[in-house]
Parts: sequence; structure tokens; C-alpha cells
Amino acid sequence: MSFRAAPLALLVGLLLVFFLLPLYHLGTMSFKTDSDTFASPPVWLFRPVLDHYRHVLGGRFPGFLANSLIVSAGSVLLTMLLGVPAAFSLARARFRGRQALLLAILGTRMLPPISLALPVFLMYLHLGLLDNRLGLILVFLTFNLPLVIWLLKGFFDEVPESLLDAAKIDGCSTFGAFARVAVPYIAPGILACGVLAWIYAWNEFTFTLILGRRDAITATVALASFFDLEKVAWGSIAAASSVTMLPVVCFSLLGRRFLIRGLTGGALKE
Amino acid sequence: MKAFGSASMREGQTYAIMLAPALLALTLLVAMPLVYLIYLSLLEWKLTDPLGKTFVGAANYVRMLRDGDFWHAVRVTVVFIVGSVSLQLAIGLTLVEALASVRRGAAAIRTALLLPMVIPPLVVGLIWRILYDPTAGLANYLLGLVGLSHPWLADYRTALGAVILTDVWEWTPFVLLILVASYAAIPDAVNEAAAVDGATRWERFRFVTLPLIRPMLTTVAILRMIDVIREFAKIFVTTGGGPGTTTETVNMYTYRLGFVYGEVGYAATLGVFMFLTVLVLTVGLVRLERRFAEAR
Repeated sequence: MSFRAAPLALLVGLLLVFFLLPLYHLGTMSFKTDSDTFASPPVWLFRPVLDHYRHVLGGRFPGFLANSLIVSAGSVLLTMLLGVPAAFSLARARFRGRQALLLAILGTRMLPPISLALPVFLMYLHLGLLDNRLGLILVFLTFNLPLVIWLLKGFFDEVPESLLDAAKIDGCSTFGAFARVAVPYIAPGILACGVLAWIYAWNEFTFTLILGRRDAITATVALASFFDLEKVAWGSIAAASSVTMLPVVCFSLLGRRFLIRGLTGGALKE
Repeated sequence: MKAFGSASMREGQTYAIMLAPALLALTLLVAMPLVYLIYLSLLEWKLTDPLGKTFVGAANYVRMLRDGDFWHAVRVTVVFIVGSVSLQLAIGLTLVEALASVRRGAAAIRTALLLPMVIPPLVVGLIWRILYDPTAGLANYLLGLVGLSHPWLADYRTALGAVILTDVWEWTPFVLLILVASYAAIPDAVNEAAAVDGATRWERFRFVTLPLIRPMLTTVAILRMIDVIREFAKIFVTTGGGPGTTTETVNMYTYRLGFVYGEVGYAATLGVFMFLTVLVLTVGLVRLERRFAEAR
């Protein structure tokens, strides 16, 4: 068997190099001096410097990071507040048109952002919600709410009927059974859904570029504008990118198993 | 009996109240904008035009069918979809057995594979813009060693392929992880029986494995198609649709029309086109899922 194991291990090794080397390249670039960055052949061993981080974190970038934080946290809160009860309702209630409604919610998740951004832009223009963090939090509901409803409905489906009936015999109302039995029962799922919704909000680009304009832009949109400068500051771009992706990387290390299910929009189960 | 009826009615009311806020939000933020989008698509409305808007009926749709730039964008999108999805499936199918055979460190490898798809898509684009850069890029240095250094993103012949590769990097791990899961679901007995019958590895793949994982493959392919249609950040930051319009997908073209040229009416028409395309794909996806669920 071992004569076959070696090429397989080599294949897996190559795979990892292809997927991790670009990340490594970006990460190390953020610690390199400009002369090391442009050295050819590339230097693999270098003296790390913090200049780029000092430069990036000393400018306007922390403000954009704060925007990202406020908008993504607000989006998750609002999404869960609306989505958790709605998912429970869709899992338990039986009414005509339920299947069609579920399909419409899934369809909403798949919508191209640009199809919504155009009319929403004009609506926000009238409502004064352009360049406004609340405007972003609201529009992020269009992708996060369907995702959370769809995923959590799957979790609520798995709560045993007998458990909810027992709660009602003990005098709980329907809402009481939801809040005291069903929600604690699927708490890990709710937490994981929140993390996933947070990642989508943190990573969002299209809506923020179009509706954020100047002050309400988040870190991802600020990153894109680094190239507008006359001389491309590679080190700064690498440092700012690293800072922006760090929290996402940390979170995904925590919730790996669930992420695969979540990233497929709940259409498949692992 | 009466008491029971009123209790279940109260239950129904509770469910309605729990569902209403979410539905209200989606009505205001999705349904209304979509209706507004359709209305906009019936107008001749340029933001730069002092005359404002005129109702023109289906004129924008006729314009779309005759617009060479639109058809070019459709072609770019189709090439992007075919190139990206087929590469991802091919790499996925080639590597899945190797990955599934890993015993030690399997969890660590899967976590590492998750990274390209969870980091912001814009950062994916940035990483590749750096890699492709003729002066600072690692990719070009490595390719230069074999005499292939080239301004990949600036040359109209290679730009689309270079952008497709960023998508392959971001999403092949997704395809791989799904494939590993569906391979794990195949009972060992099936493969053993085939081996006993003297099937070669290719025959086993073609006649045993492939039919079993085809539902999953189809689902993944449709999901990835929808994602490519919606793709924006990576193209925006690597080429911006250029050079010229060589990497301009329908999505990018719609953005240019709506938010660079201020052609609201016509951009809305393309928005409707994209919405309908994705709708058809989603309905297809759900139909498929249902059929497979019944077959199971």
C-alpha cells in the first residue's frame, strides 16, 4: 500500500501549497520592507517590520474597521431578532402557501445584489439613508435574513415534538415553548448561524460600495480604494487586508463543521 | 372541542406574529425594490438628462436584445461559468480520493481548505492582483523561472483566464469538501462488490461512484453558476471589467451602466434579466433537490 500512499501525500501537499501559499504571501508581505517586497528572487527569510501596520492603523483605516464592526454586529443582531422567531414559525405552523413562501425566501438568498442595489439606491436617496450605517444594516437583511431563516428552520425541524408538547402541558404558551425549550435546544446552531451571518456582513462588498458612498464605507470597500493612489502601496494593502481577514479566519477555525453546511445556503446538508 | 379550537387558533396567531416582522422586512427590502426595478426597466431615464424620465414600455428590452455589449457580457459570463465550474469539478474529482485517504491531520487540512472561501472575496481579488503583479508578484516570479512571466491581468488574451483562476482558488475547496462528504456516504460494500467483479479504477468511477454522486455534483454546479452570475468584488478589484471590456460580465456591465453612466432605465432592464436568470436556476435547484429526496 505504501507505494501508492507517497504520490497521494504529494498530491495533498501540492493542493495545500496552492491554497495556502497565496495567503502566506500576503501575510508575509505585510511584514516586509519595500525593498524585501520587490526583491527578486523573493526573500523567504527577512527581518519583519511593523511599519505598514503602523501606517495603516495610524490613518483613516481604523474608522472603516469600526464601520465594519458596527454594521456587521448590527446586521447580526437585527437578523437574529427577526429570523429566529420566523424560522420557528415556519418549522411549526402549517398553512397554505408555506412551500411557496419557503421557496421565495430561498430565492431571495440567491438574488444578484446589483438587481436590488439599483432600486434600493433610489429609495435610499429619498429616505436619506445613503452613506448611512443604518441603511447598510437594513440592506444586509436581504441576504442574511433568508440565510438564517432557511438554516434555522432546518434546526427547529429537528426539535422533538414531544418536548414542545410537554412544555405546553406544563403550562407554557406557544411562545413560552419556543423561548424556553426550542431555542435552548438548538442554541449551538443559533450561535453558528450568527457567526455565519456575521462573516457575510463583514465580507460584503457590492451593496457597501454602491450605498456607502463616503463616510459609511466599511473595511472591504476602503481596501478597494487603496489602488486609486498614484503609487500602489503594496505593504499597506497587505497589512490592511491581513487585519480585515483576521477576525474571519479566527471565527472559521471555531465553526468549521457548520460553515460547510451554511456556505451552501442550507441547500445541502453535510 | 370549542376550547381546543380556540387554543389552536391562539397558537396560529402566535405563529403569525412571530413570522410577520421578518416578512415585513423582506417585503420592504426585497419585494418592493424588485417591483420598483421592473417599473424602472420600463423607463427611459438617464440621471444626466435634465428632461428626466419617460415611459417607454418594452423599448429597453428591445435595446438589450440588439445591444452588442450586452451579448458580449453574456458571452464573458458563460465562459466564466463554464471555465470556472468545470475546472473546479475536475480538480475536485481528481483530488477527492487523495484527500479522503488522508488519516493524520485530516481535520487540520479541511480547516485550511476553508480559508479561501471565508475570507472577504475582495481580499481574494487583492491577493491575486498582488500575485499577478509583474514587479511584486510571486506568481510571476515562479512562472518567470520557466520563462512564462507575463502581465496576466493587463493582456486582453489572458485577463479572463486569470480572473477565472481567482474564482477557482476561492471555490475549489468548497467543491472538494462537498465531494469528500458525498464519497464518505457511499457504502464500502458497493466499492468492494465492484472490485470483486474485476472493475478497473476508471470503471468503478464511471459506473459506480459517478452515478451515486451525480445529484450532489449537479447541485454544486448550479450553486456555483449562481455565484458566478453574482460575482462582483474579485472582478472589480483585479481588472474592473477590463482591459477594454474583456472581463466584463453581465453583472459588471449592469454596474457600469447604472452607477457609472447613470442609465437607470436600461441598467434596471439588465437587473431584471439577471434576476430572472437566477430565479430559473433556483427553481431548477429546488426541483432537483426534491426529485433526489424522493428517489432516496
